[in-house]
Amino acid sequence: MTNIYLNNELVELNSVDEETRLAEAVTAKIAKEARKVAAEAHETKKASGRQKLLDLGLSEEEVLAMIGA
Amino acid sequence: MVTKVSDAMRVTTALDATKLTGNLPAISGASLTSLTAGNLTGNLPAISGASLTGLPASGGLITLASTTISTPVAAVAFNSTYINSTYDNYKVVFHGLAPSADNQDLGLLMSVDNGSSFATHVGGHMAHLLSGTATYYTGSTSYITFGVDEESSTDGNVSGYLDIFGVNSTTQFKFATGQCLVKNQDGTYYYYTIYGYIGSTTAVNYVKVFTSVGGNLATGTVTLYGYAKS
Repeated sequence: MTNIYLNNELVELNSVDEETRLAEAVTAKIAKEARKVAAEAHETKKASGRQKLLDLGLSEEEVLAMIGA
Repeated sequence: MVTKVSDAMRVTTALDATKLTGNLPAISGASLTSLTAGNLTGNLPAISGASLTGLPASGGLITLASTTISTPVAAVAFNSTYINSTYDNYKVVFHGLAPSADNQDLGLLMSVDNGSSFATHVGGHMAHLLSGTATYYTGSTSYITFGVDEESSTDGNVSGYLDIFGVNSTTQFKFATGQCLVKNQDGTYYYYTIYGYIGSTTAVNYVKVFTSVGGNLATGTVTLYGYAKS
């Protein structure tokens, strides 16, 4: 049994709404995982680019000023 | 009995309070000039709210409904009882929201058919790690996020607000922006700028605060305000 508050009243979702909610949650979990993978890839590239800048002779302060953390 | 006192006359002797009965005549506010502040003591009589007419419109936020979660629920929602043509712009304030489990992504969805279905949303956020320098940007979520990866705790949670604009417009999409502070499941805290829209020109008449990945909301308060039109 899944409840929600509607206009400050506790009401139970009907079976159709509950099925929809669960299906949307599955989709949201997939999208969340995809965003995490993309974010991790972004961080990896960021670290790689940062190291290349350091290898070129830039100081830590200069890199920080250019790209932030 | 004194029937009339001319402008040139002054009552210079002490008046006997026991003789002062009946009502004073109506006095125009314009006549109340040069009052000595030091003589204005005591309390005003009670004034009925019904008598406070002709005041200029003040605008501002009108509290419409507030829900404090006392048992775990999948969502906190408000429908067309509160979201209707009375107000065009609304504010949703959420305080102390916490999911029942870690790793939840709280957010908001809008509906144009009173909750039967939900419009296609495009949401996103910018995040900044408190006590750090890390920043993150996320776009293209299918709802308006209140941050991500929230922790199930009772001491931090998710607090903030979201403004929703022009819900009754039949020509413009519905935009929403806001901000919140969130306790991440790893114990860190993030500040989020949150935003999103639905590409619908139908009036919005339902919103729900929920956790997108299917968990429950365990604690917190959600309050809906309307922005007065004047």
